[in-house]
Amino acid sequence: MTKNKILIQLAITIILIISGFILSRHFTQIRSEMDSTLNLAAIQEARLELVELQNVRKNLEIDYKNLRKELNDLWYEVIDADDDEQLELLYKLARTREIAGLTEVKGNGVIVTINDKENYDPLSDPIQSLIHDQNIIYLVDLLVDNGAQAVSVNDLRIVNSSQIFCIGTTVLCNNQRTIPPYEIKAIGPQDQLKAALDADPLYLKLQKEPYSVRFSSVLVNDLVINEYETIGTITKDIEYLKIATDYEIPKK
Amino acid sequence: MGIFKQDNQIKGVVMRIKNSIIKYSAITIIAVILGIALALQIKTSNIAAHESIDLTELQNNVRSYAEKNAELNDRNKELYSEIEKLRNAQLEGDINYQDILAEQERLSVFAGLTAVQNSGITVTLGMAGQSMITDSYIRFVVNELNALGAQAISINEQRKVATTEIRASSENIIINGVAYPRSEDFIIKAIVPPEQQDSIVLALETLKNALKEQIDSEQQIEMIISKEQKVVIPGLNEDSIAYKTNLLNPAEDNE
Repeated sequence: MTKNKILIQLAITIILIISGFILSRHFTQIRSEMDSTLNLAAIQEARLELVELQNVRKNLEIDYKNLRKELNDLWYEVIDADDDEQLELLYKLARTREIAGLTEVKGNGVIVTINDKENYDPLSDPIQSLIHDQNIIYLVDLLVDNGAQAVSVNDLRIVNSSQIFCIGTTVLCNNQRTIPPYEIKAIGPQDQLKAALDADPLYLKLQKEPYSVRFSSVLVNDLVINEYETIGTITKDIEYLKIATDYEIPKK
Repeated sequence: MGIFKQDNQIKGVVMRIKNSIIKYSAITIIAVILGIALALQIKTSNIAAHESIDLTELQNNVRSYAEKNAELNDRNKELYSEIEKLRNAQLEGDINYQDILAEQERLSVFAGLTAVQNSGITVTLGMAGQSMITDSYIRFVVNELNALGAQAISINEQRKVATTEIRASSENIIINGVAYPRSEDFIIKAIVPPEQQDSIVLALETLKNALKEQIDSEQQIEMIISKEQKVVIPGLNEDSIAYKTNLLNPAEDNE
C-alpha cells in the first residue's frame, strides 16, 4: 500500500516537474511570439528588398553591356580607319579583354551543381558532407584540366586573380559571399568535360553514403558565362606587379 | 455474520482495485497529454529557430546584393565618364591614343601576357628518392598561394593563369601544354604583398607539414620555401593553349 502511494507520489512529482517545464517554456514562447510576428514581417520585408535589388542588378548589367558597346563603337568611330596601327591596337585591346575574362561569352559546355547533404546533421554526419572551398577549387581545376576555356562559380567569372576560400559557413569567391547550391559553369569540349566529371573518383565517393553530397552535371548548349564583374578591382588585383624588362625575364 | 464480513472484504478489495485503475488511468492520460504538449512545444521552438536562420540568410543576401549593386553602379559611372571624355575629345579633335595604350598595358598585366617582377616567394617542390611528384601537390601549393593573395604565379617559368592546366601523364606533368619530368624538382614562384611575406611563408610551412603527414614515409615530399627580394614571372604567349578561345563566342551575338 505504502509502496503504491510512493509510486503515485513520484509519478505526480515527475508530472508536475514536466508541467512546470512546459509552462515556463510556454510563457517564454508567448513572450517571443511578438518577436516572431516581427520576425515574419522582417522576413517578408527582406524578401521584397531582395527582389527589388535583383531587378536593379539586372538593369545595371544591361546598362553595362550597352555602355561597353557604346565605348567600343565610339573608339572605332574616332580612330583613323586607314591607320592600320590604330586598328591593330583596338583589336589587341579587344583580344586582351577576351582572354582576361572581361567579356561575357557563350558556347557549349556543362553546368555542375553541388550542394551539402540534404538535412545535414552536424552531430551524426561527417564534415565531408558539407561543400567547402576545396571542393569547388577541385572542380574548377578538373574542368580546366579537361579543356574548359571559361569557368564561373555562381555566375562569378574565374579569372587570374580569383580567390575561392571559406569564411565561416560561406564560401567567398571574387570577394563575394556565395551560398549553396554552387553552380559551376564551364564552356569547353562537352564530351571530355562530362567524361571527366562522371569518372571523377572524389565526387563518386562523396555522392555515396555516408557523405551523400548532392552532385549533378548537365550538358548545355549556348551556355552564357558572365564577364569578370569587378572591373574597379583590377588595379588592386595587380597592385604589386611591376612590368619586368626583357633583360630581367628568365630564359625558358 | 462470517459470510457478511467476507462479502465486505471482497467489496473493499474491488473498490481499491477500481480506485487504483482510475488513479493509474488518470496519470497515464495526463502523461500522454503532457507528452503531446512537450512535442508540440519542441516543434514550435524548431520552427522559430528556422525562421531566425531564414531571416539571417535573407539579410546576408540583401547586404551582399546591395554591396555588389553599388559596385556595379560605380563601374557603369566610370564607363559613362570614359565615353563622355572620348566624345569631348572627338569634338575637340584631340584624341589621346595613349589612353588605349595604357589600358592595353594594364589589361595585359592582368591577363598574364606581360612579364612582371617584385618581391615574393619561391617554393621548390620535389620528392625524396625515386618517387615522382604528382600534379595534386603542385596544385595544393599553387591554390594555397592563390588563396593567400599571390598576384602572379609561375611553375617552372610557366605563367599560371585561370585556364592553366596542371595535369600528370605517366612521366610528366603538363603545364600550359608543356611537359616537365615528374622526377625533377618543380620551382613555383609567386609575387605576393610584401607585408604578408612572413605570414605566407608560415602558412606554406603548415601546408608542407600537412602534406608530409598525408604521404607515407617512403614517399617523402621535399619542399623548400624561401622569401625573395625579387621574383620575375614571365608572361604567357598569346598563342599558348591556356588562352585558347576557339569554343567561346561573344554572348551578345545572336541574342
